[in-house]
Amino acid sequence: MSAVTHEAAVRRGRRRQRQRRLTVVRGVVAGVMTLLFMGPILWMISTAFKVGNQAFSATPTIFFAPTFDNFRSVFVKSQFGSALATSIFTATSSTILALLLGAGIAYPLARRRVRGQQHLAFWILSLRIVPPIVVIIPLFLMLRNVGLTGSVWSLVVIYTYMNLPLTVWLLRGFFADLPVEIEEASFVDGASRLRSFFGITLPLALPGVVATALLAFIFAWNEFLFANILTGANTRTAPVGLTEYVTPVSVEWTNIMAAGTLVVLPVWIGALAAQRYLVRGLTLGAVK
Amino acid sequence: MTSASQHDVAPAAGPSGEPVRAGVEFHGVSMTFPDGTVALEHLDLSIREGEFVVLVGPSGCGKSTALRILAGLEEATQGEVVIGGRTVTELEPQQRDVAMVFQNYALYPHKTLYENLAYPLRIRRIPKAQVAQRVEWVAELLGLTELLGRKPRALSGGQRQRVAMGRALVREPAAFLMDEPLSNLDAALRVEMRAEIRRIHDRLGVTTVYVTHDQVEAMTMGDRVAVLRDGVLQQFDDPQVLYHQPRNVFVAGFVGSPAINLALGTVGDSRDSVELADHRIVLDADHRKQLADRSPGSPVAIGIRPEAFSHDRDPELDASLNVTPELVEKLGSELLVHFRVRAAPVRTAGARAWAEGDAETISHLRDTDEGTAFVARLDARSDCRVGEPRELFFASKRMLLFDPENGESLDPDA
Ligand SMILES: Nc1ncnc2c1ncn2[C@@H]1O[C@H](COP(=O)(O)OP(=O)(O)OP(=O)(O)O)[C@@H](O)[C@H]1O
Ligand SMILES: [Mg+2]
Repeated sequence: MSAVTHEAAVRRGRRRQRQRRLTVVRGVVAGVMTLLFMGPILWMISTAFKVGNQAFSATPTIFFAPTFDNFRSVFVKSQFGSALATSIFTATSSTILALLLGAGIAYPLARRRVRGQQHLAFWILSLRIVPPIVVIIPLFLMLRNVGLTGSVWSLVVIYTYMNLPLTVWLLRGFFADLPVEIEEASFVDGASRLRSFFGITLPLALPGVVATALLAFIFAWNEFLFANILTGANTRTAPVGLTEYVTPVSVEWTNIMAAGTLVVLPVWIGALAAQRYLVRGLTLGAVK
Repeated sequence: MTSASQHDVAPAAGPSGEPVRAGVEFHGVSMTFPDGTVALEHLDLSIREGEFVVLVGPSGCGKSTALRILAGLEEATQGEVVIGGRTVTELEPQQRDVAMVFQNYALYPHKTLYENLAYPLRIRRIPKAQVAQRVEWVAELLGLTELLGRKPRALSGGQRQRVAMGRALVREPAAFLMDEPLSNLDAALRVEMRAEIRRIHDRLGVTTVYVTHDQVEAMTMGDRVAVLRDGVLQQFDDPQVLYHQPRNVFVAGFVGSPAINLALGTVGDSRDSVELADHRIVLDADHRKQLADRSPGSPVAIGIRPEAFSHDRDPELDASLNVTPELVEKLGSELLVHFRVRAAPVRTAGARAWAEGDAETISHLRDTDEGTAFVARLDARSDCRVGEPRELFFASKRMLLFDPENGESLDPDA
């Protein structure tokens, strides 16, 4: 009797030990992965606060007195602030446009049988398959004809257009996941389609909408190729602005790092704020 | 509830200030879905003002479709729908002034209970104070008062069901449409809610179309019951009439639990009797008339309800069957005795179709070469034992006769 219980206790102890070992291994793996992905970003941020020779010392300095000189130089000397503002404007307005138009297309697609629906996926993929560089020259010519080159609006139009397939695709999934009966109940209760959409459908799809918005925003925020070609000196976006620190004479690493930190910051804050929705939203669409 | 308490009810008024009530009519409504599925075939149904009508039938027979057409959520391929004397065929759901309880509740998950109940009123721009009064009345009625601040996800199934009911009851529409509103409740709660819904209906007197696939629910709740099968209306009548004078074997089988026993007999030589399993059953004048067009020796489908049988000899019970019980179920107040009779089963379309998927009504025995499975519902005092032959008595006038080919009743009054 007691031998049996003793044996059981030993077995239980072993199992617990094994579990503990597993937890340690998992922790180490997770730590290494995090360091791997976060390393460059941490390095960028720390370098942003260093003076020139600290940044170039052979053994990286970990403890140093932080300086804000780089940020000052980035804002005052090179007017990176205006590039950030342009970026915020183009990314935000193109995201809003892509969401509005995307929801307008996605909702009927999710709710009604539309002829040719099966080609939707291909349309969306094809826009992603074609490298942007292929269309840049025709686009440039078209925009010049309508006089939009050098204006931020050209970027708003292009980003909206490029984000639309993504937003349509994602939003369609989120809308389709909502039980139709909830909307039907709203109709029978007397609410118009418009009211039902804004009062019932949209709030219920909010996690999906937020996730979609974030993805669209990040794309527009990071986009470089079109921004580089289509903007003028006064309408540079932040990613284009970064290249200014690479001059024929030198590469201003500390300034690049400071500006880069400023570029990462808004997306980072946005992602943190949306995290609650993001996790739920992305799985919400994935299940069905 | 006594009639005196009717005055407690906050009177809901239509646009004109007068209480609005209305009947519901289907005129030749057919529904074929784009994929070719025929859900309804030429449905004609006239529901009186203030009536409680139950649509019943097996799964997939088109009950929900009929309701959705009524609500305007589905567009019929043919026919007209009238609600309260107003043809609404072309109208949107918003304009039809009906309230619907959905099979899966369809509550608004992001709104509190209070907001869920208030929603239909808010849309109608009813003053806040009146909304509050109305919501509180409904919450009280359904025992939801304590829960008004919660969201649907924090409610039990039964509570959600009641909220779904409440959202319909909160306004006084031209008609209530209820799609299996009790299907997700446990047995006890279902029985309780059944009585509750009926009581609320009797208080408010609003025309109600109630969908269920449960024949007990249909029989106990409906003023009249419409039985559907494969999109075709089989019979629309008082529950008692459905039970005593079913128009065909399908209705006969659908109504009543356990289901009616059906087997093939033969018409007697002078059309004054039928032969069933080596027993000659002499008929009364009524039943003789039903056999007038039949030739002697031809088959006829015979239906005998389980509760028609008795183990007592009685002058009223002029017919009998000698049986050997194969299974005896003791249910306390009664015995269910299963046996087989030496007769062929009825195989018309519709016979036994009701039993698909409804385990309760299927006989525990299978039809075999030995004969057709029957069940008798006897007094608990009877001493039937498995394997011991017995004589079971019944009144020949309670027998139902059907055409063996198409399953139609031979009773001209049915
Ligand atoms: N949107 C649709 N497209 C195609 N066929 C449909 C559609 N909706 C329903 N049907 C079919 O129409 C028939 C009737 O469906 P309905 O939902 O009215 O049945 P029901 O009587 O309510 O059944 P249940 O008791 O299972 O709810 C079924 O055969 C069903 O498969
Ligand atoms: Mg249904």
